[in-house]
Amino acid sequence: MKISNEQLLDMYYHMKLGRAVEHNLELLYRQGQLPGAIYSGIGQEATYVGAASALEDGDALATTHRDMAALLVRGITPKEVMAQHFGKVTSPTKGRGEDNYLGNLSLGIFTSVSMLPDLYPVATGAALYFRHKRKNNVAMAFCGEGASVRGDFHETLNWASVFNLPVVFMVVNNQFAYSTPTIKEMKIANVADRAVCYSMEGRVVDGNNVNEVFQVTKAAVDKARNGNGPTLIEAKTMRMKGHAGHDPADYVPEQLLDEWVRKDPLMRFENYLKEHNNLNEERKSKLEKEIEDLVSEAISFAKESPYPEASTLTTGVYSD
Amino acid sequence: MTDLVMPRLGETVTEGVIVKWLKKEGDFVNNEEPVVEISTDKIETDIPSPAEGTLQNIEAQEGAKVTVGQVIAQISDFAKATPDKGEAKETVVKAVAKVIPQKKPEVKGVISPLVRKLAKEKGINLAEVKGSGAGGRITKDDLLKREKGVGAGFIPARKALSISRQQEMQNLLKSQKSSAHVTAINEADFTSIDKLRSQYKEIFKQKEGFSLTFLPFFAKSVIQVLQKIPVFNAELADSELIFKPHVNLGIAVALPDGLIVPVIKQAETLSLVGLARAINDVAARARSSKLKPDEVHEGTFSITNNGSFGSLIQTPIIVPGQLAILSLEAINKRVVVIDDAIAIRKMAYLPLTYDHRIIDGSVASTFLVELKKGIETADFSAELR
Amino acid sequence: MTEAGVQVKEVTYLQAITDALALEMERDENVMLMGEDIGVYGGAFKVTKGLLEKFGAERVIDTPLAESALMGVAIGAALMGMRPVVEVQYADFIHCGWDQLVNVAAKMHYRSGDAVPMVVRGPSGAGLRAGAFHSQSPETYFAHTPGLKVVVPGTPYDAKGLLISAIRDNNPVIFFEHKYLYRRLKDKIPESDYAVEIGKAGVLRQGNDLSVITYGAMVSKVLEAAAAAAKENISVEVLDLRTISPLDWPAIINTVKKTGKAIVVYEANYSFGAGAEVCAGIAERAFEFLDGPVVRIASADTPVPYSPPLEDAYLPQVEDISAKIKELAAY
Repeated sequence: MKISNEQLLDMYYHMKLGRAVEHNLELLYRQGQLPGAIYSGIGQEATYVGAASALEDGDALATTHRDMAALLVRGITPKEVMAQHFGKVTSPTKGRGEDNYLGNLSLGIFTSVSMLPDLYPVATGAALYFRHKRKNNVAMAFCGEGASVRGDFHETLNWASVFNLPVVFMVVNNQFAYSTPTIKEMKIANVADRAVCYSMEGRVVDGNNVNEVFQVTKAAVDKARNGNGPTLIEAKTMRMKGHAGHDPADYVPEQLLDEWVRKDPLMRFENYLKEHNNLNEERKSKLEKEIEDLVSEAISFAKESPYPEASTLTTGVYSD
Repeated sequence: MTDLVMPRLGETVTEGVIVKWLKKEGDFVNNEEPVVEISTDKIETDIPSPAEGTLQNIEAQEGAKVTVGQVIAQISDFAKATPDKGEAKETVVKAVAKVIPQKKPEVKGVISPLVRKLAKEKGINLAEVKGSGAGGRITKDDLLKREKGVGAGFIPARKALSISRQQEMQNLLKSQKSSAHVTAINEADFTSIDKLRSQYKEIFKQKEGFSLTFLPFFAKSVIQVLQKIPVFNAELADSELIFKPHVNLGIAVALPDGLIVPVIKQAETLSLVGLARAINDVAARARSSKLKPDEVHEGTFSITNNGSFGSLIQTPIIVPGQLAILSLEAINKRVVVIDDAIAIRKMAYLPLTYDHRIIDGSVASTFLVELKKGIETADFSAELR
Repeated sequence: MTEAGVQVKEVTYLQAITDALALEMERDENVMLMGEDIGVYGGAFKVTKGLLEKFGAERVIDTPLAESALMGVAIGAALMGMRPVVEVQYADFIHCGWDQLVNVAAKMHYRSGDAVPMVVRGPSGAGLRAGAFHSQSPETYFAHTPGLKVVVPGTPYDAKGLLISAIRDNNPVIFFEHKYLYRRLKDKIPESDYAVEIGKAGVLRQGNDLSVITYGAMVSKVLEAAAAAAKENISVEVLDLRTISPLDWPAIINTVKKTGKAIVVYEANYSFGAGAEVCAGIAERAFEFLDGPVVRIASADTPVPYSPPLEDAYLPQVEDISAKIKELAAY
């Protein structure tokens, strides 16, 4: 599949944006400026951006705590991400939601939870809705390899396959679930190999190759959109930072980290773009400046935003 | 004999229908062999025989509705090879209490929040309320009844009866039981006495140091009549009347906790003023508990001044040992007829309670008529100058 | 038949629920049913019998045996605009979807402003010799979760009206229908649709001496005990909560104010039950109106046993309620 230049640059932009936001969040966290935690997705941008870029208007997306870059692709703004982490009333959750548990239902983005992969069936419910209403839309759900050994994963994949629903299941295998390496989570070599249990197509992709991720995911999304059912895609990547901001991740062997530094998705994609003449220095600097301004603007916005009033604590428990 | 029972084919099923009997009465059935087809709205099945034997006593025919647990037929035992198992004893298990038994609370003296609130609102002193609730506790109802002054919940104030009151109680009852009490009533015009009294009031007060009331006039008049009709001054002793030589006049004095009747001995010897002094004296000493014991004995006739409390007519009780008692009631201005003309005079009723065993009505009436005359016509002025 | 100008029909508690589902599915094309064995089989208790034939397989879905996925899918569909009514075959199995209900459905609106208009129906309750996993009354767990509403109808009229309200409510509502009452309660109720307001209790019997506050299958037993008490000159007021979350505090306080004494009767386990919340609230809000201790009658703190004498001992019986009424009346 030929990807247009526009699409390539769009993905590059979002990968850089994601990286910048994550990087700044880490700084803010280490500076003690954030009330809560951060769950860095640095090094996994290709997976998120490649997959999310395959979606179209009206499609639904369910993410987890680490998948911020995917949210940015689908329309969540850096301002919103920053306001959320600062706990300000200007966040999409009005300060009620922590780290990356923010969404925008008008953009088809669900607000996530900590229990994983609880949004797997929720996304499948959206797919059921699309089918019922004869909409040509697709739902995509992310989870990690650790989450993939919980019950909801299996119940959901089974369900989606029984009903042949238009949903794409992304498993982001970043090799560690907190401190637990994949080898302790499962016997199976690839999560995607489980797809056969559900009579589903399973694909393994290089999670740090945004092109590959995009191509494979796009194919799966199209397949679903055409009524040919769900796909399980496992993106192999690496968690470059700790599980959360506090976690130094000493349990990760240094060689492993070194190995994956060299596979950094952003660097790889930059090289690819340069090689294929999609990106020149001028363009790159312009982009970087744009992103820098955007991010610092977002941080100022968050810092200047007010906290929610304590008197509003009990509002909104129920819908009208 | 083994019962063939309609089984419960589903938790919420309560009834079913007999579809078809697969065996008829008298047929032999093996253990677990299907006997009958039944249907409920959830399931159609057959019932396997619970025993080996002959099918008997089909209770429900095809098409009949049966309820769960209903015996629809019986299977008689083929051979009594196995001994009776006997009545299965039902073991009722006392499971964990689903209602935590309430330790009987020490409620006497417990004031519930509602009771405390209501008592405060209604200004009720809880110490005065008797509780009808558990353990003697005061309930809301007790308070509501107390407010209405009704029965349970209302403790009347308690007061110990003094010895004198108790004695008086006995005396009054004794008198009522022993005498045949009848009260005759007449009235007297006190206008001239009243005029006289008013005339001499100030001087008397200055001279004697106490007020001149109607009572001495009355007493004097009474004594005069007693001398005329001595039966009223007599004493009944078994079947004998003892006519007393002296008039020992009892003057009833109202005390805080009862009545006392000190006696003015030989009252017939006293002048009006003397009577006034004597009356004043015994009354004062009676009220200050300074009477001598024998001063309440040996009375022959008593008078009581009910009128001083505003009474119009009363029917006093005779002092035990005497034969009559006379009351001076309230002296009020009344319209009377004098010489066929309407006049306004100071009138008072004079009730005379007498012992009808001894004194007849005519005698009593005469007494009063004489008394009336005496009061209305006597000239006491001489005694007051 | 018509009563007071209203078309009524005598139905069982179960039929009332079926009616509610059918009426709402007719009224709103977004209402859909999901659950195990609800379509072809008509439901384990036949509540959904006939609905597949009437509304089709896209709106009456026979699902795989996967309660967690079931809840999650319902949440997703609800977020997008459907109004799913999920059936768990027995309320006991709702716990298999606990995480989704408590962590996703309950908290979604508070955190994101996105509404989850779904209903979960669970046939609950004991008395049928069905053992520990087919007899539970799990309302308390969900009442304790902000963001969920919990209703427990005790009469056919309320079963229909509350289910209609639940379906129309834009929040996740857990609807515990008592299976013991399914075929045992009958009543004449309106044929048309009508809503019983969620969060409103109802006085089923007026009284002056004490109040018995209850819900679900206990309503019938309480009414029976109240009638018996009347013969002994004890005037019992009976309040049917109908909704456990949110509780109708004004109604609860009113009846306590009126009588000064309260017994709370519920079928769930004694300790930490929904009735315990009622007792605590009465002590907090109506202390000055109390002329006696607030007491509870509930099931024993054990799993539901199977053997009949055990189950009968486990559950509150009319005699237990009568005894407590007498005791409290005399206090």
